[in-house]
Amino acid sequence: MKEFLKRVLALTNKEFKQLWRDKANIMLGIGLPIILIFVFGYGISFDIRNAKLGVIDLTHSELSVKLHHSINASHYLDAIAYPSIEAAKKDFLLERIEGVVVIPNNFDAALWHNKASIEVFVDGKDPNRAQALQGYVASVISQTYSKESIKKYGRVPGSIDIAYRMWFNQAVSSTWYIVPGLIVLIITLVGTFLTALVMAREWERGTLEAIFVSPVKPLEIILGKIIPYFVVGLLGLSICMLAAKFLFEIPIKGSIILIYAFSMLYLVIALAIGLLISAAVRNQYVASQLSVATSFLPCVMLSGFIFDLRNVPVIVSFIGHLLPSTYFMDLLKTLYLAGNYWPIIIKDGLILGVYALLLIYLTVLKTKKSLD
Amino acid sequence: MQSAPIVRIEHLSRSFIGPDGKSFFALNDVSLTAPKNEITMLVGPDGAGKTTLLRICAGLLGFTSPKEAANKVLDLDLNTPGNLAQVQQQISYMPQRFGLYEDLSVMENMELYARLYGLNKEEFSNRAKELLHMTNLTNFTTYLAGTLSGGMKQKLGLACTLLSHPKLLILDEPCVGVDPLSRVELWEIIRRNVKQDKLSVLISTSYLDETQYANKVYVLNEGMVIFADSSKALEDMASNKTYAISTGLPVLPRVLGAMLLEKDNLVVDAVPNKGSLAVTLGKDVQIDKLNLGQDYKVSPRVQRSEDGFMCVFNKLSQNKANSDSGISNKSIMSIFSSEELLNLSQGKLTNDAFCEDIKRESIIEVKDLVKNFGNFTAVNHTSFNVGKGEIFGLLGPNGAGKTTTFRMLCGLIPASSGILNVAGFNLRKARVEARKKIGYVAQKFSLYTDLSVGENLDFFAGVYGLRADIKTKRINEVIEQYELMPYYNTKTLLLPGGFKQRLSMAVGTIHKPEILFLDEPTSGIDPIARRIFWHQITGLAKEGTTVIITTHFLEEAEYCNRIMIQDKGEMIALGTPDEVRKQGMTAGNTSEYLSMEEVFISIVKKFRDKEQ
Amino acid sequence: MFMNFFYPLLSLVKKEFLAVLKDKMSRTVLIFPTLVQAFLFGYVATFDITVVNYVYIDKDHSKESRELKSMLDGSGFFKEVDVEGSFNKAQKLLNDQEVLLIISVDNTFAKKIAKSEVSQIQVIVDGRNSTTAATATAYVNNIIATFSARYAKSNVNLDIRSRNLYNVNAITQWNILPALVATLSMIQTVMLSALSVAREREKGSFEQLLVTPLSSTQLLIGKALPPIIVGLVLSLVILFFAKFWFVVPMQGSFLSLYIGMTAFCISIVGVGLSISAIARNMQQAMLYAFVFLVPVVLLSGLMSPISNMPEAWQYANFCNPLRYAVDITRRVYLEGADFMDLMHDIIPLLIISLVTLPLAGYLFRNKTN
Repeated sequence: MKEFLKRVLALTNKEFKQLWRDKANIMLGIGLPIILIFVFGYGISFDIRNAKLGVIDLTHSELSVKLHHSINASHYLDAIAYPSIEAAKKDFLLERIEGVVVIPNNFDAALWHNKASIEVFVDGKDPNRAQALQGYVASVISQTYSKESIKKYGRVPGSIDIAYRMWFNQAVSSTWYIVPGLIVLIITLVGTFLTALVMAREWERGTLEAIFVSPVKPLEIILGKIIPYFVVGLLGLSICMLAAKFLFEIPIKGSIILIYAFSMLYLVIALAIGLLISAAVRNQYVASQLSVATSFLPCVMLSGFIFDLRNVPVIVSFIGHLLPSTYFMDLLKTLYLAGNYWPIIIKDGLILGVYALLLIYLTVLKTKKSLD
Repeated sequence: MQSAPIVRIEHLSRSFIGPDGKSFFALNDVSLTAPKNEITMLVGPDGAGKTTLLRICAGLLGFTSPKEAANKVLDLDLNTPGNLAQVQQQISYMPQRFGLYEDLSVMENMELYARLYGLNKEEFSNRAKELLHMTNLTNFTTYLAGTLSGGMKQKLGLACTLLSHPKLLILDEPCVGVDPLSRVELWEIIRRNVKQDKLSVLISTSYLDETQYANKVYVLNEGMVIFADSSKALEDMASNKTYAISTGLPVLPRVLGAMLLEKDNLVVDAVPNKGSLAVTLGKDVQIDKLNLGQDYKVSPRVQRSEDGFMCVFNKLSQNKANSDSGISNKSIMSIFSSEELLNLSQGKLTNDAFCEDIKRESIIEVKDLVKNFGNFTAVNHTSFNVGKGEIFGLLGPNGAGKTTTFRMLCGLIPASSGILNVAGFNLRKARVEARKKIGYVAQKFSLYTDLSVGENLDFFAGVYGLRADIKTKRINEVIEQYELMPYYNTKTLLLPGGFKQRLSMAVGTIHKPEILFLDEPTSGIDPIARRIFWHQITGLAKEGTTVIITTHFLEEAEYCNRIMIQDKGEMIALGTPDEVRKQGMTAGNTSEYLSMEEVFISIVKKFRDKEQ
Repeated sequence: MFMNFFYPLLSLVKKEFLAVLKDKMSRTVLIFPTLVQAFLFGYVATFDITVVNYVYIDKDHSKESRELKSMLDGSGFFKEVDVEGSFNKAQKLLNDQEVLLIISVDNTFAKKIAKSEVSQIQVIVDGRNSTTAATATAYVNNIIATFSARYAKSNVNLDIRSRNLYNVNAITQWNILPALVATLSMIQTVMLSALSVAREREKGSFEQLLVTPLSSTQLLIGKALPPIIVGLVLSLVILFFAKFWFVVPMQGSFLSLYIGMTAFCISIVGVGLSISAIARNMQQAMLYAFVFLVPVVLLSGLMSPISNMPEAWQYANFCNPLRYAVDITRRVYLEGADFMDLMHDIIPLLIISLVTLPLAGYLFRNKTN
């Protein structure tokens, strides 16, 4: 046992020294998480803020000016006045504005006497954004209109008020679900991509051959690789958690201890996948391609990171549910946003545990001290 | 009563799936015993199965053998599960490319191995001190392994494997790419440990002179043992067949040798050595059968292990009519016309290129050449000329500056200062023009392995600007010259080692360069392939091509018209092999003809003593 | 003179193609992931909702409240999960992500409608994925708006007529797939060019190439052309995939799309070759390419609109070649933009090329020796 620890320590020590000396590794281990945090945290947002709309007011009445102002006042929208539809259309084609609101001639008269209509055109290239924009425009218009009708008639025409309550994400901010997802992405990247590369490099450079003919056991070689990258992964995790808390002010509803515990479990899974890949192909180029294709891309695309797995065809969803990252993503978002909700924690935790055991078993099986 | 051998292999076989998808035997029914406290050596051409056998002994590969056969290392059966761990506890293995961690320092590499073998601090510091002293690495402990020269790396690798006082040391070609001085040091370390530490050694090599250190030599070919006896017995395979022919005429020994090799099966081997030509006769061939002119002086000489090795292979190729192992007429291309052959054997000279002392115009002019890397001066104010049609050898220990000089000459790196004219072009100004006149064969095989032989040739002919009919003609010519036709459509990756070398030569000469640069072309190549290679070079020189070559096999310097020796960035010798030989003679060394290796070591040592 | 320059170049281009296409592994790595990604992205990259499970808690039990439920169920989007009026059960289902919404109607619902007062409906949404939540909310809004139009009595009426331009049926795939044409072909083009020199350097063949009389200009062009052509061919493959598998109609002309794509490929090959010239080995080349690709793809407007980004990011994005290419493909596909309309995308791409290609040339000369 003492011998075992001594050898693991020797290998770990060596790995840390190499890690520290190869600047490319440091870049991947620490630089890339920071880049990702900034890109995802600040660059990507699916929420609408200050979308520019062209407003063509052909009436110039008190009400139409009010409408114009209230569109501008909404923090979702920005109103830009245009004299004619043609002028607005030109900017619309150049994508300077995302939509056009047309308040027709004789709007007031038509409104109080018969039916008035306001035309809204939005750029439909991105349908979700289009739909949301339409919704915001409609609600701004109808609110203003209700206020005005109270002024004029002293009452509101019968209407239904919908009281929304957004659970788990009070700010309705996509950052809230992207940043926890980022933790999954970074652990996958460090665990699988980096580990597959460094292990494949040992195979390729032949450094393992002499080590094999020493009293070292396969498990010790594996541990000597896992421990250092485990630490790097935890570092990336902590950077993300700190960024989430202080940069993006995302509340942590669940327990931090649980978040760390399950992140470690998932880190072990990611590391085992990386070691498995490198043991199977023993070639840096193929190992890196494989680890990107089998873990990084699916993690971005199929784990529910950005795209909701509930909205995809059954077969794609099935593939997504074969990946450990899907369960970790689910677990982490729940712990972050919903709190210690045990049914999900237990279900996902168990699945991840089974994956971890299976993958470690396979890795130990695959890493034989043999060149066969 | 002799104790049990340290390695006993009986009727062992091992097959692999080749890159072409077919299964082949790397080892076929091999038996071997390595006695305790002795050096057992494996020699043989590339692909003979040496590495596979060593890996099996180290427990890295599985194998098959008959049930009753015993395959034991340290008296432990390799097939019994659990034994491997015990074996590996007590042995050390140094693969061909030893796995030094290049981004760790010398000391950190040693520490890692010490801890993996479970040495405690005190044991380690004592042993490390001893080994660092032995390897002359004491002053380099903080250097990163990646920055060491080839020779130092191998010494460090050896030190790492010796840390744990192993009972058996397995070494796979430890001297590839190592200069003669470091080679001597490596062997001193090995032999000292055998003597003092009761070490047993199982080693493979492609330097046949190293068999002198071995107690027993196994010659492997195509997965089979074809010779197993003492090194003396290997030498004696050539007894009474070895002669030295001094030309007595201005004929170059290499030309005479090439001529003899082309004659039907008369000689097994003919290499320039110690200023004359060392010949080994074929089976049942008498010396007078060579029919040499009277100017040639023939005298018997002492046989060497290399001669014996060539005889072993010659016997083999005679037994197997269709085998292409060993030197046979099939693998030697013809570079002389029949008339030339006849004239040469009579001593009549018809071509200036066959002679030494002729006046040559310079094709390479180097004056005050300097190369600095930061503060480090790799090449210091060096001047020399190379004449047209010469074979010019660049020699020196690892890190002497010869590779830097070489790379500057072919325009791969710019010089820091000095004049450098190649084929009439100033390399500073007209690098692209100069490149049209030169050919280059890199040390490592450096063609496109995914492309076929034909595609490689087609590509390089294209970038050298050959077009249409000329291109087709040249491609056909080199294919014929290097006998590449059978492999025309073969993916280069799948070529046998010797043919890769031929393809490199074909590519390097496809545009008929005036100058051919060869960077350690024979490093790690077996003796037979080396003979074939030098035959080709002799042919090119005969056609007027200038050849610049670097090598670690110093006996190959005897093929050169002139050689230059560098050390620590300085040029310390320049001249014909004979001139340099005179420079190498010391008061203690009275024998008239030293081997090139002895000359080299003495010159470098003299220079280093003066430096200090 | 021309032939002396052109012919060796041609040999180099031919060899580059052979090196990429002959090896089965690299051929597979080139084509297969691109197709799989196009396929998966096509399906996965959707924010549209097909089915929303919800719980309906009806405390009113009136004709109106039942009518609202049947409108929700009849929409095709909403599928009710019955909890027999238990809010606790509903909450558990929401926690387990079995349902996305809880819609509850209180017992004054019908009464207030009859009196033309404001009646309230409570909607609880799982916000863990805010995009899905927002989309589902929009659907609820629409249905309740229709409901209220039917029941609310009003003597005046305001009609807001909204129209989607360009993507009339509002299919997300129409937005994503054209952008994928540029994105996926870029990933392969950059990888291929980034590895081209690095691989030769690692295998040793680069030295052999350097001693040939090829000038650095010839070397640069010879190394740049094959990735550009591969990029264009791949974009054609994805284009067909979008057209025939996902049936996204293309409004504009093929020619203007291809002129735009060529400008794009030239600009990114410069980046790839620069990476290749700096990287000492393949691992580094892959790493640098990765670090370049991730932000470029994410900030290109492929997944989220550029106008959502903070101002500083929007400025930084002016150097992002992919944002112009995504714009080009979307506009040609969906708007039917012609060549002149694309000038404000093509000109920045050409400016980027004017920076990246000379940079690659400079690095080739100075880093390869």
